Amino acid sequence: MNAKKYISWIVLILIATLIPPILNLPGSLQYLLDLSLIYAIVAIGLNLLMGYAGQISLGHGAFLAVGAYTSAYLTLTLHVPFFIALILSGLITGIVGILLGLPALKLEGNYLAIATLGFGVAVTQIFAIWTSFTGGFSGIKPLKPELFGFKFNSYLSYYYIILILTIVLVILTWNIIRTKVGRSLMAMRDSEIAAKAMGINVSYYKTLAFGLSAFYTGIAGSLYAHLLGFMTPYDYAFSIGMSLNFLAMIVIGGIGTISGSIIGAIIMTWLPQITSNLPIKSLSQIITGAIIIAVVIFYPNGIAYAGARLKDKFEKLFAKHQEKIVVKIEK
Amino acid sequence: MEHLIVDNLTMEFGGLKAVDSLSFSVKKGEIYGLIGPNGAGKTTVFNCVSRFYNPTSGRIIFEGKEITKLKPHEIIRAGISRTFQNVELFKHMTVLENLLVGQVAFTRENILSAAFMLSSVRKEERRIREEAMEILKILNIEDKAHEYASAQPYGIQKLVEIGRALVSQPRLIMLDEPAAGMNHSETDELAELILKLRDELGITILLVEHDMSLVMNICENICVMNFGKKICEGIPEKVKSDPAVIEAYLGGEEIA
Repeated sequence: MNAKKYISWIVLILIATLIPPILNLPGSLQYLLDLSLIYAIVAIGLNLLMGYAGQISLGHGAFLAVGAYTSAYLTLTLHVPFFIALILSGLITGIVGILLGLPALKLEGNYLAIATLGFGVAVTQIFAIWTSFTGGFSGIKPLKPELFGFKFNSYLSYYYIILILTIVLVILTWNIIRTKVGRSLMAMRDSEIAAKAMGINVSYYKTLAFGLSAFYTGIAGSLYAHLLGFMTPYDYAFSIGMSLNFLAMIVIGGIGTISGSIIGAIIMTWLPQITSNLPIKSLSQIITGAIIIAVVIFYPNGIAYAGARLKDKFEKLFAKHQEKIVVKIEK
Repeated sequence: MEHLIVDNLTMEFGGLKAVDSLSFSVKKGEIYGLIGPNGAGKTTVFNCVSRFYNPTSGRIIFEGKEITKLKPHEIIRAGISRTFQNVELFKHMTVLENLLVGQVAFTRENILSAAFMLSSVRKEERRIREEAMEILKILNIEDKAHEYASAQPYGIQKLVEIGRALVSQPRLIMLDEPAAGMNHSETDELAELILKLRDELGITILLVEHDMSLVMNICENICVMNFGKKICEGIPEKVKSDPAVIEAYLGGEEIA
């Protein structure tokens, strides 16, 4: 990573740190900001699986539920401290991910999409009837996290926990994708036979990709549970609809990029909110849909690449302009 | 010394015998050519040796060890590396990254040490990058290192593939039609390169090729296949004048 990129990331982190207290957002908007970062973690995890390893999943809403309920159960019933529950939720969801990854070894493309979709539906159904674990329809109330006696009661204070975790996960992801594991995943995505010939154990890395992706989503699930004051298995974030939303996030933001995952998550979380103030109720969804379609048409590689393309265009324009000047002088 | 021995290899697909009781052996440091008309079973032999196919019967012995039961991803650690007939590059990765993948099997990194970028990982990453750049220099394409593999012309892609096979420091390299789609001057450069690999790096080379001039020029020994069977084996001069070979190719016309 070059110096320019470092600086832009640092500026971004500073903005993310300072803006919320300066803006002093009302609770509902601060909640949305918390949520968009949680979804960004899911999107990064999903992008590892889809963008880097080339495996599809339409079941990430279910992974979010596994993480959320694991964390709620650990903290409420077993009285495990929040931060330990957070890590354990990631690990347990990761194991569930590995288990789902096993059938994925035999399935590809559309068939894998359907299998993960089935997983998504099954988990929600199981959680709905498994009332001793989830509380069922009457729900449960996950606790607000506590660290050294400080209770993260407000959405703003909780925002910083989420922000720090997001930054840590972005750094870890960045390190993973540019070393052996990342290269193996991308190689497998681009050509399975060549990857095998180069000594990559494709079965191992496919399973690993599912486990890793689920780990991120489990962490996000834990954060989500403690953001909510009240949670039922019927929560929209655990549904198939949300799984498709996660997919939309990485497609809009940019498949195979970390920045794209974050951009996509922020857009998909805020767009409905911004358009919801319009006078006609269903207009919000229509506009959201239209914007998604427009992005996919005009920036098929996602918004993360759009910035780079704009820069290229400017540079080319500038180069042409310079050429003209040179020609004039020569004349 | 026998480096690679293919012993009585048979590969059946359904009722079809793509390879029929084929035996040949490649000496250490030799450039060995495997030729034959389309559908003779050459690539099938390659796929058996690199373990993508499980032969119906027969044995494959490399450096005195039987490798017939190894998995495809274990073959590179045994010291055998290969290229593919229709270039199989990692398209969305750069040329350098493609070469780095060739090192994956020999890199002692795991997901945790990499995630936290321990100093051992940094050192390892530096080392494999340097080694990959060395190979790119040998191939004379180091200026392409940071360009996408898919953006390269076909000839360069073929070189990148050879480079990727080289970074694992194989003792035997299998080239599947490396000259396909290349023009004359490119083929000449390729011949030079193959000789260089053998002479300077001491790598044994097993070559499947359609371009007769290339095979006749650089191979010390040649095995000619037709319909899965060996019809002739020996030095280029012998093979060239063998009536069975001439019959198999071009139905009697002279070759090369």
